[in-house]
Amino acid sequence: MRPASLLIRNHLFELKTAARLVHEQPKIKVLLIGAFSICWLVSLSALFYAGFAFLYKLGGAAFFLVPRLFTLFFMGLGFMLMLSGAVTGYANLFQTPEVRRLLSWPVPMRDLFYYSLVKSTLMSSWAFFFIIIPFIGAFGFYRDWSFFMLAWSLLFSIPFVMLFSGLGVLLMLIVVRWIPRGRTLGLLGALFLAYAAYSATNYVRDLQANQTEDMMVLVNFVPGLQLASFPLMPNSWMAQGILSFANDDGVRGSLYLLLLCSSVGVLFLFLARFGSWVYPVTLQRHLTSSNVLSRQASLISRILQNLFPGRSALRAYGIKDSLIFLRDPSQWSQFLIFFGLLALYFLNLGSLGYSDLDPTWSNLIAFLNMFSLSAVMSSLSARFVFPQMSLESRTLWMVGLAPTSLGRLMLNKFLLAAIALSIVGTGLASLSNSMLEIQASSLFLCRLLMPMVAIALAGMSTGLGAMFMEMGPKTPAQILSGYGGTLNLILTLFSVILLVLVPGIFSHLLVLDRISFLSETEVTVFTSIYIVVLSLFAGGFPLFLGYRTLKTRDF
Amino acid sequence: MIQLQHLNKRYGQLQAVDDLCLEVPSGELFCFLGPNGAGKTTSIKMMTGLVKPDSGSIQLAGVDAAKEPVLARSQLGYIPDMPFIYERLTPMEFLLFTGDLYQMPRDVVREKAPRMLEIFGMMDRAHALNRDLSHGMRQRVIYAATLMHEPKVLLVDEPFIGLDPHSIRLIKDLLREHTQRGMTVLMTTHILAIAEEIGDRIGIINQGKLVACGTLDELNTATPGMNKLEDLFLELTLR
Repeated sequence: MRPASLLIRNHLFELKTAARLVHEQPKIKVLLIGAFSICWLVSLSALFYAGFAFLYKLGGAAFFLVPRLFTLFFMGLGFMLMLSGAVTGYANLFQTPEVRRLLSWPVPMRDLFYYSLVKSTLMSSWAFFFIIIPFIGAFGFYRDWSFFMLAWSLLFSIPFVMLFSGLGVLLMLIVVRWIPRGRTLGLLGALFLAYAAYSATNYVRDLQANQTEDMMVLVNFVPGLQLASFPLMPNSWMAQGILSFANDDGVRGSLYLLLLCSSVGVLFLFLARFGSWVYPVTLQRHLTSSNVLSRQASLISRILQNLFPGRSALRAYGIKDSLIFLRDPSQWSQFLIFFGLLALYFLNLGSLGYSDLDPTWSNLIAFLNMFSLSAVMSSLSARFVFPQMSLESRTLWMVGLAPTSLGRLMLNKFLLAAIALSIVGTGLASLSNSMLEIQASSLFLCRLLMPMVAIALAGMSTGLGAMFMEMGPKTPAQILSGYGGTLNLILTLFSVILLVLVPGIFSHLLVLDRISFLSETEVTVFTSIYIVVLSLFAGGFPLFLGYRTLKTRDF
Repeated sequence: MIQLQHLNKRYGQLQAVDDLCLEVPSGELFCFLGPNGAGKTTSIKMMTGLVKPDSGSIQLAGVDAAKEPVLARSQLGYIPDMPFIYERLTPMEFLLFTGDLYQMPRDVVREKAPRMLEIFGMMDRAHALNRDLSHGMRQRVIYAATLMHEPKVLLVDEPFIGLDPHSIRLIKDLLREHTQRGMTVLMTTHILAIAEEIGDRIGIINQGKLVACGTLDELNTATPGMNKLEDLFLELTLR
């Protein structure tokens, strides 16, 4: 058996063992994940179903709109898969300790590449089935498909997922191999990319100019539709293939499936050849890329040293945590993806013209946006803030001896997290509110909400992180998967629901004029007091408990 | 100086440290020897305040560690056997971080950090990421960071693991130099030859109890017929 096949078989064994050991995980965690997955599948399917029902109620327009929305949906999914493939591919090919270990074993580089490629494709793609299944399922359910038809259509997703995550790995490999080193070359590279992006935008604009009037209206309404419908885009083959089956054109559908499968075959054959050639050189380049003889501090380091004033533990942690965050792509890329997607969505709200509609709609959407923003903030605080105290336990030989208490260290961590979340949350909330042009009382509540949500989330994650502090060299994933991490995730989500939905409901009722016994000012004042008191309690109480734990425990 | 009086620590059924009394005066390099699990690291951790003693008292540079923990810790430097440093910081950034953490004035930190790196021969790696440094280089960075705030008491747990001869010589010279300037050093080691070479006094701990303490000559005199520290150590700890 080839080394690559052996390694893949070993990896599958590991996955199988992990699945078998589920019963050893905290019950609360298994229940939560199970309940969340079911809720996710059911609610997303229901949302897609409602969307299709709405479109088909429009009559003839649905036959024009549905294929285009299919292409757009699969293009978005494809880009997400590419990004995911690039990130997991980079981690698997260059970052994992496993690769460094295998380099000293008698495993040919080609086999090491095949193994990492398969692993990345598996890792980057499984989650996307949770989006594809509800989408195709809802469409099939609405169109009364048989189970056989549904399964046949879902077959499309396998080559689709492989194709886009493979493309992500290919792009990543090219970038890592040929990205210019040094500041000047880097700047030239960035300028070239900017020029390429500008040219691509112009090309798409030219294509738009040659469209029918209906399509022109739709393209202006939904950005990216023109690119998504381009006949050479694989997302278009996926959409056309599924819709051909829906329209009883099985031959055409099968042809699209074959087209996808053959493209995957060509891509993976190319990747195998290209990777075997490029990977060894790229790995050497990566392993020797450290700037060990640099005599100058990095620009970002110098900026941060001057940015934080005074001399205090807060300054020390502010600089240290910012530098580590900026130098760890797995950290900033998650922030960038989540908050970047929200920013794009908020920016697009302007083109949908909500400000011209009834204020009920803009108000409702403003609070739904606050909820989605807070939910993202809660998952990021659970991912990044909660493990902070446990991660610092490795440095207690120095941090624990500094003339500052561990309680103060916890407060510093809380302050930094609260400030960072508050800045990002307030900025994005302002973007959403300015696009929706909501009324003054709702605007005030939204402005108050974000810093208070940040305080509640940062306080809860830091306090619980201190209470359930884990000692020893554990990774953030290991820290999060414990009882404390799961409890924190549940409590932060619960506090977001209480903090955002209640003011949202009151504000909505106010706009609908359903609260006649109180004036607008009174409702705003009462809701503001509710937000402040609840968030201070939600953040403050866990901090108090964490502080007490740190004072009494041994390290 | 270090003053431990009737120090006790129990983990469940295990008496990790049993009525430990010890005094190490200023300017002395004290070597703390003992087999694995004898109570050396627990004793050191109690001195650092990371583990609280069940009973007994600790004085560091004349400060009661229980009554004034923050002041006591500000006099202390501690280097564990396998210390972790932030991999995504550079040695220079790590030293600046340490200076801020110890609330040293900014201009002092900026002047002192490069000097410390120079002393430890790390200036040409000052702006490389810690993750790209070898074990020996990391140890040098850790020594530089620990000594930057000029502690009066230094606790070192197994300082020579995995170091090359140059680094071992550098650290031995440095410990000698600092004790001559009045620093109190308490060092644990399993390398008996090093304890014989650089220790002013040697203490042997077994099952949480201090079973022998004195200069090498005093220990030899107290145990006739045993001319080597190795024989004495094995005799006392194999009982």
